[in-house]
Amino acid sequence: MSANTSIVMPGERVTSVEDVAKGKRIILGPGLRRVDDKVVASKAGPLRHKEPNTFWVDSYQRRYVPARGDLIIGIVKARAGDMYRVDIGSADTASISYLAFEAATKKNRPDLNPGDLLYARVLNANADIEPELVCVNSNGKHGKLGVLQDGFFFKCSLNLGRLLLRDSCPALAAIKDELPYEIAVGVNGRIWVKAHSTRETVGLANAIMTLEHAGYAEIDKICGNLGSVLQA
Amino acid sequence: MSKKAATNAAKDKLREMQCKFNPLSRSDGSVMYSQGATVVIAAVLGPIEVKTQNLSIEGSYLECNYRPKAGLPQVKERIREAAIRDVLELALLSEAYPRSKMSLQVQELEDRGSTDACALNSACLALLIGGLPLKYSFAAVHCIINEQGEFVLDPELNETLRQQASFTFAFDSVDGNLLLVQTKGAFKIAQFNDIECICRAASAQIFDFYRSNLAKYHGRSAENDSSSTDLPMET
Amino acid sequence: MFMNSNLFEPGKSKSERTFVQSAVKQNIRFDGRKSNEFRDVKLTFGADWGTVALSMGDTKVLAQVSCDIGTPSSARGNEGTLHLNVDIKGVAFLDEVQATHDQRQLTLNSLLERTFRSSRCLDLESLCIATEQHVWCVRVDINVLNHDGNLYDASTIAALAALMHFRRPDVSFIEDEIRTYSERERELMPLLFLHYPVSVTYCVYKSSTQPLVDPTLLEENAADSIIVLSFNSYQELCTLNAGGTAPTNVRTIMQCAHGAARRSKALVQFIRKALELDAERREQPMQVFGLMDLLNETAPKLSFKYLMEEEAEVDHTPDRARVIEQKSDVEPMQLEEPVPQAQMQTPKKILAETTEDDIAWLPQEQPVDEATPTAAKPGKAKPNRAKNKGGKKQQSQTTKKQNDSDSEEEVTQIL
Repeated sequence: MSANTSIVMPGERVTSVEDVAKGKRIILGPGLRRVDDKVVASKAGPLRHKEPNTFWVDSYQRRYVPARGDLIIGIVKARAGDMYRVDIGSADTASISYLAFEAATKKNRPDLNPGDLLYARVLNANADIEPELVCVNSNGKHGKLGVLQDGFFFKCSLNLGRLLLRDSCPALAAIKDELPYEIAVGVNGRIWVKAHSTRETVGLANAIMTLEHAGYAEIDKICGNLGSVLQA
Repeated sequence: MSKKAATNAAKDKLREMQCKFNPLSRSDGSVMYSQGATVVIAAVLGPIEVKTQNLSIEGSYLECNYRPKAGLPQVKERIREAAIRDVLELALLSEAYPRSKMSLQVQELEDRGSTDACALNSACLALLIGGLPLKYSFAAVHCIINEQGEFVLDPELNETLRQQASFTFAFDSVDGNLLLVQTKGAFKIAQFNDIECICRAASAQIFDFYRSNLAKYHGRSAENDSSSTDLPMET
Repeated sequence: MFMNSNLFEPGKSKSERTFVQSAVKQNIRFDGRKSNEFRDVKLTFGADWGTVALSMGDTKVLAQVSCDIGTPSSARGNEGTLHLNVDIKGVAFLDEVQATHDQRQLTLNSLLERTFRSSRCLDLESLCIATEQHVWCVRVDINVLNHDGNLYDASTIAALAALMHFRRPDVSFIEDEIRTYSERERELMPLLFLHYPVSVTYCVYKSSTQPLVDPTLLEENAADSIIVLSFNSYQELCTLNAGGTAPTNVRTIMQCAHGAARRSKALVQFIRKALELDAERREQPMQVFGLMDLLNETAPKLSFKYLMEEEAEVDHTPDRARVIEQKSDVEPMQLEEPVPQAQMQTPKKILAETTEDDIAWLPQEQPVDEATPTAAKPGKAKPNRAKNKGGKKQQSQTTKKQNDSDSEEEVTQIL
């Protein structure tokens, strides 16, 4: 079903999913919806399947729709009461409480200013309320979350963000062989990178951006060439 | 003479369709679409933040704009916008994103006949590529009755100068229901029915075009990528 | 409510700004360009007269010229009118943030007005049909399709190309009756120009003395100040727009002015070449493709890099002598241009300074540049341009400089 050339169109009944649904419970991801007892596509793209029971429609969407648990990069927009407003690229601006940082108390507030970059996790996401972020895990530690200092930050498609986060993605490993770097990938299609020198960071950012235009098949090939790109 | 023969033969055919996905870097989905020499660009944003006065908790607010290439939008463009919005409101699954706005902009690049239909088709492609949730896709077809009483499907601008009547139909992709009917001029109801049949047949061709192009975009071939890897990468 | 921009704008976060500043300091640009390198400019002409689509990297602009017959203003009864209108609201989605983008539209509009209208680049008197009754009203609509920096240059180039491409129908006014001739009856007429202005944009950063030309959106948003200079093909200054917070010294501005003057000349030449090629294509019996070419990969692209290959090569060589050679080559190509003494002077001065390096000759060069219009005034019988040049524009230019310069000494030097 995941062949590149066969796609589903909005309104199309997806019988292959219905067949599976007869046997067991299934999870319908983005692009699929249930109408009565039929499964109907609402987006155009190839149908994807993940064992055991998850189905979704792949698309080159560029607009981020928040989902609980997503790791995202946001830009602090403003302070509002005991919250910060953060732009995460979704319809609503997200909010993050002063207390959602490691070791933050009423007295000891984090010092964030408009324009700061934040690597955070989506705590709450629902179509009817604005998303809420946190910068700590359940143990109260910040882990890898928090303010991103220096480095460079750019926007890419949601697809590329997800692609880089796949375990099997060869791109980051290929770059690793060439130069040491830090990277934070937000699934809202924002990437922050940092290398030793400005020149290296620029090369790194450009290398990642070239992946944007590649299909899945070409990624390996391009990754092979990344080394030569970064040498420049 | 040969040119004339060619146009005669094309009276029951759609002009050649072409499209290019995401020519614009800023929008969530954009498409440059041409049908014959008529070229339009459509771009969508959505779901995005909505102004409080347009906010609806039931579904998303839809904004449609059509921009002519010369001058400011006039009544003609407003009518066109309204037609696009009517169709889009039917097709969009707006309850998926309450308290938000979907914005669609159509920019005319070259007006050479059947612009209404082109604008609608480009809007549909832009929504598909932008990943907006739809109940179904839709296709619009324009047809006229010329002064000889012949039906001309998807006419050129010069063919429309002396028309008896013109029709624009939009069909959905699932049941083939009519989403939009626009008629102008005098005609018999039998003619209307005939033209509806012709347009319905032509809409299948447009749906095929959508599907094949989107499939191509999703499984982008190697030749397409070789051009994009030429991006300046030197530092 | 906090109005979300909804559109990602690069250069709005702090880390981007600091990063761009440090990159500029080390003379690095993201697309691998040098600080004085431009993006390639591509033109596509539409099927109708006066339709031009321009792309400069990811910045895309559509310009359309239209005209109709109207009444002139009471002050200038014997002149047609030129109206410029910029629209950034359409597919570019630039109106999402109300305050700042309205500002953007206003600046853009005022720049275009000053470049084309105040500099009187069109011969408006030729658009008069009957004095104080009927004149041609020319309207330029610029629709921004995509914004990736440097809308200023993109719109001025597109507007100029569209105006030069445009043809209006011929009319006659006999016994109080206007008769418009169709294309079949009489050939359409091109607009008449007095000069051909285009703008060149520079970004100035606090961290570097080297300004960046043709900025991308990221560079533009992170810039401390933006300088827009409009020059015509005679290398005369038409508009100077400088703002922002970076202290800029005279030397930098003069350096920009030199680069801009050279660039403007090349651009106008490029537009001419592109128009020639378009005219050739139109003469072929097969149908005109128009903007469908944008979709067609195989269609001939009228690109700056391609058409101006030789010129570009010469331009980039540091060897001054070769530049002069090229300059004198180019001169006869300009349409019926009476070679003014000033033009003769310029190469001579450069020749004298050939041995010195870039920076050294710049400030000395500048009096010559200032002298250009004044020297040209008596020589040329073109009162319109001379008046404009010698008058307000130049004054504003000097005052601007005065404000921006950080040392008193340099100011007196100019004055």
